[in-house]
Amino acid sequence: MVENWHVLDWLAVALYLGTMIFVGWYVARKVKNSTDFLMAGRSLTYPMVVATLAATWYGSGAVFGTAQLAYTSGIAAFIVWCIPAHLGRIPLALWVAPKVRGLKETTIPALLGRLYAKPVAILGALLILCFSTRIMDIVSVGFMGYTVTGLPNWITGAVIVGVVIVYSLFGGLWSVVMTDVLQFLLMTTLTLLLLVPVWNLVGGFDGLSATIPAEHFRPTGDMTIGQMLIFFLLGFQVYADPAAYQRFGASNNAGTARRAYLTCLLIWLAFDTVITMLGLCARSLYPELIEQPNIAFLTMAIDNLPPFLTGLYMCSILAVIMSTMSSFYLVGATTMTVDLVKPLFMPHMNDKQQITLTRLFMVVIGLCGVLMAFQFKTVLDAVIFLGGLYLASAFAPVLGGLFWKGRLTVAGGFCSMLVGMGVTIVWKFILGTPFGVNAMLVALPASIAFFFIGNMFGEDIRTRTANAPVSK
Amino acid sequence: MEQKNSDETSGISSKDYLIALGIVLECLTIYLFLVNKVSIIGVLLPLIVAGVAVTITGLALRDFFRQHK
Repeated sequence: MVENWHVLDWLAVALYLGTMIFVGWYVARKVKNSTDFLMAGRSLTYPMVVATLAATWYGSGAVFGTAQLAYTSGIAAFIVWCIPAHLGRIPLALWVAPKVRGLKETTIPALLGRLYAKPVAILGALLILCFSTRIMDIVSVGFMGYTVTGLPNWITGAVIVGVVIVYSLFGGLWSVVMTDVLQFLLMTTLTLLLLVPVWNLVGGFDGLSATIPAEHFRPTGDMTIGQMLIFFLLGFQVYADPAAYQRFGASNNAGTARRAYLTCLLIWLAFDTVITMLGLCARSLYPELIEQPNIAFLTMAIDNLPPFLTGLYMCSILAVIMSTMSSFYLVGATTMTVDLVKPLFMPHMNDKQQITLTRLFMVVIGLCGVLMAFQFKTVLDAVIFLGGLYLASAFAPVLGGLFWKGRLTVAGGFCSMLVGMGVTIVWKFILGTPFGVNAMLVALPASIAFFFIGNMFGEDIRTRTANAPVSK
Repeated sequence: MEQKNSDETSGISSKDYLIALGIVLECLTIYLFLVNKVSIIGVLLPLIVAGVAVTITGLALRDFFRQHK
């Protein structure tokens, strides 16, 4: 497959990367202050929020993970993973998004700081920092670069991280959003390039039925209940997703945040189906690559598209991954600056210092991600571990803090977050995943239980706030 | 602590519920297409996605240039 990679494909990739850097630079000229840099002036309109949310949500996990699952388990990839995840997000769009838009806090740690106390905010900031390294995306890019061009994984990973950092550094959220808009267009339109010819080549469902196992057309495939539960729960990670919260906050009003997210659900459902079908086609065309489904997915593109179009198609996958990386680098860097350094060491930080420090942290987070990335065997492993860690730790304190009407104490938030993180790490790395049960299945219930147990101890935050003297 | 916003206080409109209903119907339709192996979905769906994406991108670019004249 490496020999099919043409100089014209390199040209397509270079054009794409150059365009992203140009857009980042061009948009940066509109940035006047830190609100513009960190929150795009809180003026994102409905189509902007739809494009940036849609592009950001689709990372390597959504594309390679779904394609891999479709290759191994068939239409269950869509039915077990995508349908429950998207239906489960309707309440997020209807109630959480507008509520977040109405808050003055711009990051999840800041919100945790207000809801509970500074230690919970710091713990949340550290968690978001881990999540923002986007290890799974770097693994995917490296893997893709190696499969397609033969370059070592780390070189492709480092180059792409470098480009993402450069264009995000220029204009912060404005650069990220406007590059997302173009990346959204690329990722959605260029899948047409591949699916339509490949679908005709395999002969639609009639051809697929003749070449792939019958259980690939069962709604649940050959998945166990435990596997189904993991995929179902992973869909709810977005309830505490810092990049989604940042975009809700940056929307020009609460109605925009709500409706844009609902529109994204419509788009994601269709796009997920397209990726599922590509995974099925890969299984039909390359059954011998059963141990490496993602190689089959990429090989299919290289073998069935002419030079330059192959490069463009790879750019569409890069667009999916880079849009997510840029958003999370900005979220992580904002968290470091606004939620850790500013309150702890530089309370009088000015606008210029804030922007400079955010840029510096973007570089640091990107570098850390590249250094840690190649510790995971597959993309899906990395997605499940990091997604599970974040879900188990942040879901209960964030959602509980926003919507729980009963007693709410610092201990509740702190214990819930700490137990979620601790159980995930101990279960996976120290106990070695006993009984083959995924860490998330243990850590999430433990975190929820400790949210309620912790809330029995200490002073009720709402009573404390109500009794506090009014400050002038 | 919270900045109240007119849109937030006005609550969820019937249009929002209609979109939510649309999502449920879309799930159901795609599910039936996949389970019953209706091949046309392989051509129709990417075309719809691409059409929607082109429209949204066009509108987003228009809004950006209007905001930053």
